[in-house]
Amino acid sequence: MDLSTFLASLLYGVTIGSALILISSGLSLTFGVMGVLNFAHGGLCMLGAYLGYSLMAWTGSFWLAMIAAPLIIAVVGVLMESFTIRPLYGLNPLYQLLLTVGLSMVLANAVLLIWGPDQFSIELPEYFQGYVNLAGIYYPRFRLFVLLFSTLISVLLWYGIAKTRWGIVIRAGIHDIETVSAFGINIHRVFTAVFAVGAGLAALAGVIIGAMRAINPEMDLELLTSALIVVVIGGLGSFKGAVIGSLVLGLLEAFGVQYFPGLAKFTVWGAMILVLIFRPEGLVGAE
Amino acid sequence: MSKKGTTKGLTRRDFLKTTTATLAGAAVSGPFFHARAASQEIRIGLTLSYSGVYAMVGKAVESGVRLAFAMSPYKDRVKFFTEDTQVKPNVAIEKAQKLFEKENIHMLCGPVAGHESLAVSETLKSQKRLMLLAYGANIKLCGEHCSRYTFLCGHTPWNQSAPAVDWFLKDLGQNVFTIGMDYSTGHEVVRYFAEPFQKKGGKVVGEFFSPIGTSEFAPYLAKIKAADPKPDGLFGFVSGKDLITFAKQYREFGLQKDGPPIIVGLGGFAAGLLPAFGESALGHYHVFHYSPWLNNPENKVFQEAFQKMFKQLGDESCLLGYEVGTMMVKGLDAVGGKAEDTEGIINAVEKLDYQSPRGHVSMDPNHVARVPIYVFQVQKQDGKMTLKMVADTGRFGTPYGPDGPGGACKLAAS
Amino acid sequence: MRSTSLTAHVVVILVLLLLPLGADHLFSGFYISLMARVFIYAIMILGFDLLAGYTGMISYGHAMFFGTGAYVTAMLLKHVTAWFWPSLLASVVGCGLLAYVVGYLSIRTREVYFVFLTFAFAQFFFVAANSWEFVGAANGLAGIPKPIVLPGLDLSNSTVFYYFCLIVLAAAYGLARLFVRSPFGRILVGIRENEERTQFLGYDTHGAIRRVFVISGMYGGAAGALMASMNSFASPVLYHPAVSGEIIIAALIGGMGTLVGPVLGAGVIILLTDLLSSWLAEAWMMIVGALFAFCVLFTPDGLMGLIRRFRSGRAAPGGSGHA
Repeated sequence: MDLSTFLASLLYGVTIGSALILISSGLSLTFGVMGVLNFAHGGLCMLGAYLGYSLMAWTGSFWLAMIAAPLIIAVVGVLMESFTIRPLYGLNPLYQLLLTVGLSMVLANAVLLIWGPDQFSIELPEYFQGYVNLAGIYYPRFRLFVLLFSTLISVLLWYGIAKTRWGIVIRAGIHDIETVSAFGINIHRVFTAVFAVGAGLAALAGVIIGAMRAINPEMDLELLTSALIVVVIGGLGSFKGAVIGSLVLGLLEAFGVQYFPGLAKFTVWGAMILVLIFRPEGLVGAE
Repeated sequence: MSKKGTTKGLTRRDFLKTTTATLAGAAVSGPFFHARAASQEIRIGLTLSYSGVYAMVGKAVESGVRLAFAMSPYKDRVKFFTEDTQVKPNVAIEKAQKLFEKENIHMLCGPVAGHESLAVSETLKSQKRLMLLAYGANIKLCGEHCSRYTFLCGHTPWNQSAPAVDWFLKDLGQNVFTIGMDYSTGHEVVRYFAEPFQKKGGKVVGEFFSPIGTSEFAPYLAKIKAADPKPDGLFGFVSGKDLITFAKQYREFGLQKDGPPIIVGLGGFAAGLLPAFGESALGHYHVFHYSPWLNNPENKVFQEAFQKMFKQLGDESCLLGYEVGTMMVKGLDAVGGKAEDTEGIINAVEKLDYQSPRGHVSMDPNHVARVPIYVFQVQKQDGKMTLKMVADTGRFGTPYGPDGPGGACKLAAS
Repeated sequence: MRSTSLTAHVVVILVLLLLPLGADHLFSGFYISLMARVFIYAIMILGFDLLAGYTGMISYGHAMFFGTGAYVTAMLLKHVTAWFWPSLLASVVGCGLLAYVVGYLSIRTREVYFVFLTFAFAQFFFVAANSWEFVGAANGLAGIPKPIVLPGLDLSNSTVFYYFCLIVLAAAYGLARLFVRSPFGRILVGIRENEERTQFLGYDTHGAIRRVFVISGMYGGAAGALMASMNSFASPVLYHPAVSGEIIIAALIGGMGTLVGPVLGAGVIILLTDLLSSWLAEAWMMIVGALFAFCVLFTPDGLMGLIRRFRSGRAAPGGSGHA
């Protein structure tokens, strides 16, 4: 247990955490702000990844893929929200959950039908390849980018929700649709917009994940599971909690591999169970 | 329940009517599809994976089986029935039963995953129904759970790890870092390599077993970098999307350039998967019994015929399906095409010995084929990724004595 | 709530009793095994519905009972005795205990947490079963002997198995009926309609839900025991979230909060999936998912709700589902 291994684990833990922040941000946003538990989140990530791959294959530009894929999926999100989720507002949230479960099955099958069963991977442009040497620890350039990028996204989202006028409006809208509407604000349009942003974030995460890992037809379940665990442990409804949850989980995984191999899978589910039982509001607590 | 808004479009009546009609129609039409098997028809079932990550394997195996029959005298008599097992053993059992009972198939091309194939083999054993496996590499099937009614075409965790020991010691060095996915096959491949490796003087300088579905290998890569003495190669079993992710991150972290090569058993860098690796596969090796670029006359025939029929390269999975089809065809040849003569077909397959696109293939007493084992390296040729054979380690079945990796096979006792 | 008429019950039972006579003549014998699977799932979903449909607590981990029931039976059949009854008893009791523990830990505040907790518990079992060599790890337990139910009669014959499952289902259904009509059952409906009010009336709602959860778990255990006997096999896949999801989908499509709904739902799901896998293998998941989403949106009280509304003309949607 020397210092450099410890530091490396710390760094890798934060790295894993930053990827988790991206993956869970979309879910945390829609649930925290709108109260919609979107079980199709993983499917949207996956769709984003596949779309990003195709866009990159057609145009050769990674940046184009990173911008266009989330925009397209945001439109998908608009359609999803308007036609299927909107009728369920005000009802028991379990209905929304169940509906999105059905939608996730449709999404997953659609991906299989469109892209087939093959696995893909997004090739990064030259300047993202290779690594930097941080005091003896090798840190891939793209990971650095992901770390910085996820920090940026977190700050933007936090600011947008907590500080801007729109954020306050949205949070108020959850509690009292009629009153907010009386102020002349079309709350339904706002909800649709938020959901679209959540979908776009999911797709963005998908593209980035697609550059780091294999793109395959089953990635929706694993992405959804990761996002759920983060959101639950961090605190349902709290975006800050999702960030903290991501970091905690990332560190757990990195240190677990180095010092307690063999326990990895159990610890995650055990942690989730413990949090849900003893501190259901999560580590941070609902806002 | 209070519901805002009204039901749009389809009325409840319509919905109920169509549902009832569909169900009734299904119930009635079911029997009409239960054809009394024409005595001339040869009915072949395939319980493969057509969904999820193994979907490409399922399709590829099926195409190979179809080709084998298309090149045989039975091409006009054969009928195929496919079912998706979703890589779930209980579904595999149910689908296998369905094919035998409802479609009256004569023999089955079994499922691709090891845990599925074991489950189905056990079920079919007591029912005396014949199954041949393209994949389904479960070590227990080679020994303890071997069955008169199950044949493996040579793909096992043992024969794609142990034979590589001598080559590794000669060509790479004395130090190995073993890697594997954290489940039975991963541990098996590592064990079957590490034991003889160490007996011959090699040293295992480190190891890791990653949970299936690991997407972040950074901590494991750190372990590899920290290994002392430096390993001459990584050996083990990581496959599918995990291997793609691992190889990508291996390259990201600079190890593809400066570190030891990765060698995986059971054909991790298969031709069908190479495009997904991009540049990350270059320089690594895998152990397998075939590659589409093998240079022998039978392979030329196979590739030409396959590409003519399916317009794409015949990859490893296609070939294994082709081998299963070939075994079925040769079995049928021996019984004069009488597909109902299961016992006769089995006797014939037991005696198989022929030249295949893989090389010289024969059947061992434990119903596991003895096949040539090669080491391939991923190299670039004319700008495209190919697998170049760098070593031919000889022909191997899988040991079936009491010390064998899967235990003793009772079939082989006589 | 109007219950299905006695005539309907009798007709259905008669049809089911006579069905095997048509095997191999009118249709393939395979459909008898398929129907047996429908019965097993019906037991499972009936148990689920007693919890979800009558109290509103949706468990996304019901597969944990299915799997545990199967494993317990498989282990006993393989190592202890080939008699079915001890294994069935062990499965049922074991799952009841499991449900008690899980319920004690999980049944508290919001329903959404219950969904997550049950999901997490089932995943925990899945990972455990996949890694534990004692129960065969990923390979599962194969080659289990066919269980004996009476001296000289075992369940290897598919027609015998069909009738056996039918009998168990009938018993399960009858018990559920008694249960729902009992005073305890009324409390449950009260909880579903308005938990707070029921609490104010002096009832220990959490305790009541916990008891239902135990019963629900026992039904799952029985279904698992039958499943292990059918396939002679138990594997970690039985714990997969897809199984839990399937249970929820079937319950909703059939009609939650009723007793016939689960049976209908089991039939629809299994027959539909079988049909689709033969004809539209590449799109079955999409079709089932779309059907489910459609149901949630337009007919959340499932087929039973449709039938009820059809019969009562233009009456408003009935009392099942969530308030």
